[in-house]
Amino acid sequence: MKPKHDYRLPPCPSYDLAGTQAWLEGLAQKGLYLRQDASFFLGMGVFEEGEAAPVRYRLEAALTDNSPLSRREGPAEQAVDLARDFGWDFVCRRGSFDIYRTADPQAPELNTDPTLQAKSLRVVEKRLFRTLLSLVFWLAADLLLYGCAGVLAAAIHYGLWLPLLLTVVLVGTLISAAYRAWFLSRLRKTLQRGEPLVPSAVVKGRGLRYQVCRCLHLGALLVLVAVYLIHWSVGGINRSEERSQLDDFPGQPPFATVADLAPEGATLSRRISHASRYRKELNTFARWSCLLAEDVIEWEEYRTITLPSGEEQRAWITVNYYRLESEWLAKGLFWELSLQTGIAQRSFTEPLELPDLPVDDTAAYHRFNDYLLLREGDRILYVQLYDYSDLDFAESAVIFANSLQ
Amino acid sequence: MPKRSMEILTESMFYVLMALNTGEMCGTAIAAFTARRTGGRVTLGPATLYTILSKFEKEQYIREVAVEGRKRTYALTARGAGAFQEELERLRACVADAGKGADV
Repeated sequence: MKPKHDYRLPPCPSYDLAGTQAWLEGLAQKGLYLRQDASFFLGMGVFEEGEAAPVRYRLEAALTDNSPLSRREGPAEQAVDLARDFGWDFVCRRGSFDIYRTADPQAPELNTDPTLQAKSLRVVEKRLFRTLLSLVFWLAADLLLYGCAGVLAAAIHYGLWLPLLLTVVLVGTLISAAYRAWFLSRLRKTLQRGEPLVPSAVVKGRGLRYQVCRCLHLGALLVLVAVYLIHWSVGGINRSEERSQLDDFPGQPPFATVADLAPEGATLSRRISHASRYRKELNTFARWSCLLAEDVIEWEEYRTITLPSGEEQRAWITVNYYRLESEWLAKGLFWELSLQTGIAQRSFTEPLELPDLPVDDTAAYHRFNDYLLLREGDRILYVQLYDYSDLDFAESAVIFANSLQ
Repeated sequence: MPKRSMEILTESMFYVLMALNTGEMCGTAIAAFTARRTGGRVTLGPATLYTILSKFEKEQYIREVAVEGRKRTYALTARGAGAFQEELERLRACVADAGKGADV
């Protein structure tokens, strides 16, 4: 008959050596034995039922790398053999620690030299320090990415929850790793002083707190993966998949388009005479709303304007229109977009002169193309006029500003 | 300048070198030798022994001379013997210092 399996969530982290030992020994006295060679599934230990007996469990710092690719390798064969010769069986690995067990009361302790045990812990500490460094790097990269793209802009374009969740998960993991490093360092010093290890979580009854934190962290990770997958599948990250032709726009857009910029009597055609005809976004729009903005429109338009004189002009614009949920959000987004411009000013950007415009805030600059940034109340218009266009920037700016009235 | 980790031998490390200084031995024999020699005052657990043996192998203090099934036998190298003698001299000096009394 196959032995019955039981899954249990540990009351303490793997680096609480004494806590884990006490927990496992307590379960053995109830007839539950950690299954040999079974890894901790989603943080839970797999147990087999047996006869209740006093059993000693001990944790040993894994000297072999426990990266995801190699963590199933377990300890060195020589270490397992040596332990067996002394009456100890390797059970499984949890985190950075190898778990050994013995039912023989005569078997010597697994570790008899606290100084050496402390040195082994130092190996785990160093590994943890490397993890900490990489976490700091990813957190910095995450903040830089959203900082450069603009926190509000990124939230509006890529979704609010995704960057927020990613940051929360990264910060949570960082705090947890820092706590682990501090705990391990304290443990190592205790061993160096020759003091006994105290099972902090089990003795002080903090098991529930650890389990709640663990579940929250795991839950946040799962949600993050799920949100990413959903975004991926619906094209939420790349809005080019959900763009429509400009002719399909319902009614009039709430801002000026090429038709408004063209001189009176001119006719517009869709004839495109350059390589950009292959651009997927040309003459399309995307429209959506989110928690921060009730209406967002990405608009890209190219038209050939034929003047009454027969002369032809080219007009190529992209417009990002935002109607934010509140004026202060609009001010925030305007500040963020201006800041990006400000950063760029030091390198490739030159400010452009603007006439007096009937809007609350204005900014304009040239960087390969002309850019116009306008805010009126809770609305923002971020316009790019391609250099390829024959449109006059100052005149266009007035028309765009008026269209916000 | 702080000493490197291998320059400071713990008591367990010293007894492993002492055991191998008497001849080739496997892990359990080293532990048995240590317990016998110290009258049970110093015991060597398997994790401690493995840590020491792998460190000593890395530092070329010892080398594996035979493997029979699970049993691995080790021998002291010249470098290991030198380290043992050096530690022995240091301990002798310590004991001699202690014997001089308080008048020095």
